[in-house]
Amino acid sequence: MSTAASQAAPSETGVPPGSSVRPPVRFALIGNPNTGKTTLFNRLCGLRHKTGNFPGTTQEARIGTVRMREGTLQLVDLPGIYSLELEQSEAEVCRGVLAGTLAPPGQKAAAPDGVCVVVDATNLARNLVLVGEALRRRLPTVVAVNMIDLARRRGLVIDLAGLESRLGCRVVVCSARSGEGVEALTEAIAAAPVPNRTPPGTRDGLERWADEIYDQCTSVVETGPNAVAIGVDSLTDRLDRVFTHPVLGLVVFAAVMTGLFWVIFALAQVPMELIDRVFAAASDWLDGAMPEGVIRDFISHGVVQGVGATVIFLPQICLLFFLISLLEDTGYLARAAFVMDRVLRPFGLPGHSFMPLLSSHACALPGIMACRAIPDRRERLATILIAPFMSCSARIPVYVLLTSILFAGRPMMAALAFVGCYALGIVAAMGTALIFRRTILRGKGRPMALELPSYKRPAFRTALLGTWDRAFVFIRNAGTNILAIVVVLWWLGAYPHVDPPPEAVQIREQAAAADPEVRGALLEEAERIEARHASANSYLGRFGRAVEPVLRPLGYDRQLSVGVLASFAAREVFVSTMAVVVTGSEDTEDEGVVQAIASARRDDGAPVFTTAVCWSLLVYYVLAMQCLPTLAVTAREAGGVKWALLQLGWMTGLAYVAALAVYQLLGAS
Amino acid sequence: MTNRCHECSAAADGVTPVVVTTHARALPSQAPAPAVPETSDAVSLTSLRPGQTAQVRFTNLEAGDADLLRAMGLRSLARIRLCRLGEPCIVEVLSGSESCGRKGGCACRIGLARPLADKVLVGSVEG
Repeated sequence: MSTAASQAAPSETGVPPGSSVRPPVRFALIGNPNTGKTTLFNRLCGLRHKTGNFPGTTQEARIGTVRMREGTLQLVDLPGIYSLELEQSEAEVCRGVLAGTLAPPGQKAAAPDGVCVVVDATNLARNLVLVGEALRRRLPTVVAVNMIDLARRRGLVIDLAGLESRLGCRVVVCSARSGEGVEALTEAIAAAPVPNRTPPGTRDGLERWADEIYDQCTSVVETGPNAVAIGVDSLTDRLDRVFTHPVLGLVVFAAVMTGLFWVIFALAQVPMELIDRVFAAASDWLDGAMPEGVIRDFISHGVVQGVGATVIFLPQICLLFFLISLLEDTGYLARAAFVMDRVLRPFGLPGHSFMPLLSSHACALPGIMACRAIPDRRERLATILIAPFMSCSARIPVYVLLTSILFAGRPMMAALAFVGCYALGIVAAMGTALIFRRTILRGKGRPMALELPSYKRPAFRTALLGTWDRAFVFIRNAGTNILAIVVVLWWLGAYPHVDPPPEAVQIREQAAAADPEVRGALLEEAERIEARHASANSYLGRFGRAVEPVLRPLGYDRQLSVGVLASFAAREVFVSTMAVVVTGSEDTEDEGVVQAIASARRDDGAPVFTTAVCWSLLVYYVLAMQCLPTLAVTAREAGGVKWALLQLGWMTGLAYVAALAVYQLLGAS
Repeated sequence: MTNRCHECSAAADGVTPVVVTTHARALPSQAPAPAVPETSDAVSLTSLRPGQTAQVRFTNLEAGDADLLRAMGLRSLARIRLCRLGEPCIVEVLSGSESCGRKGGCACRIGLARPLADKVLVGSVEG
């Protein structure tokens, strides 16, 4: 049965007669990095999965279900590892799950009913070492030989029956990308027996065992002129030389990143406008359908407009995750890490920091968690401390709002300002890393070793499913935490009720006696004064007034002070807070949320968002630590509250000084 | 099924497959590092020219780095090809103990910072 197109034939050789076959309920999915494990998980489970963290760890757990004829199979996607024995957090999680001491969120800790080891058909010898480690766990085991299509192109022939016999477990060849063999894999999992072979226990023995099996069960055939050969100067070599070149590599990296952000802004515009219109229409409809009063205002202005002001940025966030996922899948990002190693080294950071810092552009939480992959403690701490400087997706709403106000009708300038915000965050991060690495985190760096996966066409399905995960988390956050904050803010802004000011009463009296032509204008003026008076005397207004002296040097008035303070819990709340604050004081009918905020006035009637204030706010939000969950994760990952306090104090202090300088500079000119 | 490579077999017979050494200085509380197998033709990986193939003899790295490289496939007797010399050094690890001389088949690429690559010693250089 030696054929390059080894079909997933029913196993006869690997299954011992009379071995106990247990119906599997929960299977753990393990494998080396870059074996297509996640693609296979997505192929098997599709949208039927949920994402969370293993309790007490920073490792993400994805639990999916597969519907089979015999029932439902639960799959737990474990982190990619090179060995179960390595002293890495990923390996610790895998060891814990296989031993039954660690369970996915919401489940009881118990050993899984079996394990599916995903191996790369084009790198079988190394992958078999991990298979050996898994087989020694004595759990029902299936080996999924993935990327069989690529192996065929390289002329690799796998003796499937021989492999099953020597491993003592079921082996199925598949291609997660094309779907080939996936059905056979689920059938094999459903009937997986306990392996009838036990590989050697020592590392040396295990490696020799893997080499022997590889030599006995694989061969290479000539596959014609189109075969992808190794061991010769290939296209991969040439691409690697360009992508890791000291100068060309940086040029390519800059071009790729610029293109990425250009695509995000170009494509996100239409859906953002659509979402804005939908929420505006919903608000209008509620205003017309519900009786006038507190409840109508709460739902229409508090809930709908507040959540709408956050959800409007969903298209940009989805695009960011989607494009990063595609880019990672091409194999380019691993090369970029080495390019960045050269860039980051002068600042005392390793290339390992690149992925955590890149992830932090989506959200600092996974970015900080990803710092566990940085072997050196000082480098890890430095990366954790600077990760929140990267412009995360929560800042995007603030950036969009402020750049839209600054450059209304000039999208190119707005995009440049946007890029400038990202650049400022990176510069601040590098400067901070340099200072910390030369003071409190002084020490020698650890050189980088990283597998460079094959270049390949990215899997859109995997990227889409990953994006769906992230979007769902964002929407859930918008629908829970942000909604709760919005409701509290609305209440603080709406109460206590106060009597109208004498000025408004006087204007109303004038309106009653005035001609119908001017009556409307006078009534509008009275309403505006009453609304502003009510806002200024609400709990929120009083709170804003109390802290205004601290933020006044930065150009922020009472309303902005409320927005800045409210967004300490989460940056994106700034926009929804401003929407609530502003719609409580301005008539926003027929206006979008952004326009309503942009036209906000101070108590003295002057515009809130002057050019100097906008730039000051932009700088503040780029640099400030305005995220409570990030501080909590920093304390946990860095090993102490003192690191979180240092992060808070350093970032907020830097933000205050920089925003002050910008405002004073622009305000004075 | 596979064409046994005479050179690989000879090398395998002649070198003890104990590869990974640790810095005693980095691990003062642990047992002394095992003796490094000396081979007369061992040279640094970074002394190869791009395109040359060689066989890994041993590494002279700290325990954490050595364990990781070993798990990634850069271990004793592994046949490698230097794809790029510089920062980073890129090597192709040719799978299996008898992989030299094959066209096609298995391989994985590993990028190594220069300081790591300097401490990977190789022999049986070809090309």
